[in-house]
Amino acid sequence: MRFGLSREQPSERGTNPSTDDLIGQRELMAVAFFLLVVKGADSTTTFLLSFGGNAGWLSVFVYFAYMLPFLWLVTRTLAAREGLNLIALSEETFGVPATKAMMSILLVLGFAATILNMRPYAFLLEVMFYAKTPATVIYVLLIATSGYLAYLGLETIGRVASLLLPYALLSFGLLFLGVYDILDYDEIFPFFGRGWPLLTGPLAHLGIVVDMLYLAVFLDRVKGGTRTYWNGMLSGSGIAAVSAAVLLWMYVTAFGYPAASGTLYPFQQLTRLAHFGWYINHVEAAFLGIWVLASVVHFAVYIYTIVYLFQYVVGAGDFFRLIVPTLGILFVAGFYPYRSFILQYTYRAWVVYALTATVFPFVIALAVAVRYRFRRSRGHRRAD
Amino acid sequence: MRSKNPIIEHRDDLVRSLRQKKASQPRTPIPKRLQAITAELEKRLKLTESSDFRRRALTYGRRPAAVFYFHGIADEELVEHGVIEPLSRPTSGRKLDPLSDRRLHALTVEALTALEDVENALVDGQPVLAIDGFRRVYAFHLDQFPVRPIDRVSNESVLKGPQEGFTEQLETNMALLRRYLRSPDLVIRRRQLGRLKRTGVAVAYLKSVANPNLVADIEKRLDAVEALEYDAVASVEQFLEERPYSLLPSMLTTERPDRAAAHLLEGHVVIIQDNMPYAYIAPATYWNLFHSSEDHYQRLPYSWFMRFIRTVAFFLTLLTPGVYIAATNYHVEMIPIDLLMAISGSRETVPFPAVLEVFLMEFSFELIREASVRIPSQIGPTIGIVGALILGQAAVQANIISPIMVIVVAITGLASFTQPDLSFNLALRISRFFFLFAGATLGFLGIALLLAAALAYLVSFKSFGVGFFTPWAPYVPSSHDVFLRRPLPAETTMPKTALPQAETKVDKSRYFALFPRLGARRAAKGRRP
Repeated sequence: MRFGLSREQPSERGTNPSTDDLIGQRELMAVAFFLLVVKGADSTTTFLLSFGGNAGWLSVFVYFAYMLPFLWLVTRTLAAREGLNLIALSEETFGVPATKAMMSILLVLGFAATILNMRPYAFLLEVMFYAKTPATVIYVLLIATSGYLAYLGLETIGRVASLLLPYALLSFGLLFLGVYDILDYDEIFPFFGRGWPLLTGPLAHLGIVVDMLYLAVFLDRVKGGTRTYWNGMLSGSGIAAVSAAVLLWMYVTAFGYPAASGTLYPFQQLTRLAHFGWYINHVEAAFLGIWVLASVVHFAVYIYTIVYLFQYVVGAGDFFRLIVPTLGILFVAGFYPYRSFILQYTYRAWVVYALTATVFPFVIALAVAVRYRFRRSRGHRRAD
Repeated sequence: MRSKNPIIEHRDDLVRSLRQKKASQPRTPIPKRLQAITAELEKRLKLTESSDFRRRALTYGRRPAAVFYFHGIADEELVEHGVIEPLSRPTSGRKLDPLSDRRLHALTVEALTALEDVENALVDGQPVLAIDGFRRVYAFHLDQFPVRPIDRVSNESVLKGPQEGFTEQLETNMALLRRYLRSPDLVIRRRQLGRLKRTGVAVAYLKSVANPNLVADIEKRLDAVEALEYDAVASVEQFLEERPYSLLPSMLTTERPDRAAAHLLEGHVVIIQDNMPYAYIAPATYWNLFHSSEDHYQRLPYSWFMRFIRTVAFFLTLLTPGVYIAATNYHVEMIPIDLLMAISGSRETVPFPAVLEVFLMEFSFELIREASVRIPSQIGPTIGIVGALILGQAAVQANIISPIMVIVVAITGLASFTQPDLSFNLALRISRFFFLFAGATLGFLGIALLLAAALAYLVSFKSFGVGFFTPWAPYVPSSHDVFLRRPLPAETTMPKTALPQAETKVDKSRYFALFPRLGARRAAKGRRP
């Protein structure tokens, strides 16, 4: 006999902030932060540095500047029909079949992006820290832990993220303190690196940060609606952009430009250099801890999004029953064949192009359609 | 409209069926003749077999009567001088009734009409008066169970603050709550649970503060327990909690009435039970378990310091063995070379792997701790000698463990004692073995992954619908009495943790009067155009 309230079912208490399964601005900000900041500490740095050369750290701000209008567009579009999420709004505007088709594409690309992101993490851990442990074991553990967070829901992911955010920022601060004496500040010049590619590169690879728009799918789970979404995303991605830029700046100033670009795992390499006095050094394992925590939150959001889209596309009733099949697919698909690390980057580049080519036009089309519809209905009212 | 939780519906069904059962249950009327009453009671309560049963024959007016009670649980002196002696005095009235009898006016008398009620009254320690020709039996509230007097607390002792604790008697505990909270708002609702044991359980709350839904939720759970008709409800905590297999407690257990009263003021519900010198407080968050009542009796800087120590101790308890194993097995490079040489030097002659060493020592420490609780107090010091001498010094000399391991285990053990809540302390002690396993299997990666999973579990854990990390995650308005706290007069906001009805504790605009410097600044600000 159980007396407790089951998690899936609402309790009788209506106004309880703990049971309504919504996230607030803090949680959304933290989720956005972990979604984006990890990109400054994984293999994505190779992409970022390739656009701007030694000014790669500036490319983060360029990304941020490019994404802001889209973020604003999504917010404004969703604000036209407050209370609806991206899927519901799309259904209302384009109809169910078109929305399902679009979400299927987003689901496939989301799956591909998750797999292509997750497997390198397992390799990173194997190469840098656990040479004797099979990457498969690490991969399974990473999937299982992130999957567990996703299983507990968006509320839990948001809360974990909000609790970890100060520690993540503190660890960045500590990392800077640990390496500040070995940084060569002259390395950041020429300030704009390669010049134009700094602006054009991110434009073609906007898909790297498309996660920000993916979060609009859960807008109905955000307390305060579009206003909270805008504030949370803006602050979260803003802090993430500054943090990622500082990290990239540290890679360039610590290793020098060509070396930073060619370094496979610059964050881990940088943590190896960190030292506090001459006695406390080689503290990369301590930074590994917070990096793993951040990665788990990062992938938990990915998995939650995939399951959410999966549920919508297949029309499944129970969200949580799809978790295990999704994790199974992620595990099996993680063994995709590859011949070299370079090919992994090629696959990732394809997914990024595909995301750029689908998500942004979809957002623009949705914004135009909603605007047109909204204006027309307003016009009709006026005519009446 | 939100659908109702099926479990709540199930509970409602249970309560409904109990009410129907109670309504349809036949109640035995009291026989008219005294002889029949005595025979019936003897049959039902097996009085001929119980040597502590007393029967005193007397006459009531002209009618034969008898007083029944159990020796030891009724106040025999009062029975003698308050009931039997006055009733033996002649009276002038022609039509007598104990309820209006002037000789019994000083006593609380209750008329019982069913034999089942008479049974219950007798086992509750109340003497009953049966009169020939009356279809009613009269119970006197003269129960006096032997109980321990109010004593010093044993598990939650403080250096500064009240020293008294709850006792095993429910009525005394209710009185203690009333003493600390002299408010007409304090509601204490009593009931009995367990078909055979009939344990008294009381639910206390402040009517104007506590969330009525929370109170109703707890009451409904208790209704469900009652409806299921268990023979005995030994610990009501385990019947009320939502997740019986969880390491985390759903309720805060305290033996301090001042602590229970402080939580009542913030909208929590206190549940006290007979035969248990504790109060259960619902809902309980991490912060409730982390705080000690002394935190508020000590001055602010001392309280901050104590909380800081406790926080460090929390992580030391949880992570020290795991981190030691992870660092020595997987991340050797992070240990300074001198320390590394010292550790490897001390481990040179030890034949076991470090993880086995830690496990052995931690297990031995738990053995000592368990033994020290069970051991008779006269031979208690033996445990200290055995622990320190044999497990410490002798094991090191026999090269079974390294000296550094003694330090690791001692730090872990010492740190675990700082946690004020017994349940949470146990949860931490058990959890550290999981972290030890994670550290031994995958080093810091294992610890970080387990930490992520544990954190996710912690923030998703709910006690009576309230998040375990409230007011941090989810963030809700609070008096900022979480990791640190504000000066007591500045704790102006009513914490929203227990979702109270009341909004604020005090008028914020006035509390500056207590801080001369702040008050002057505020006054100056107000004077500005």
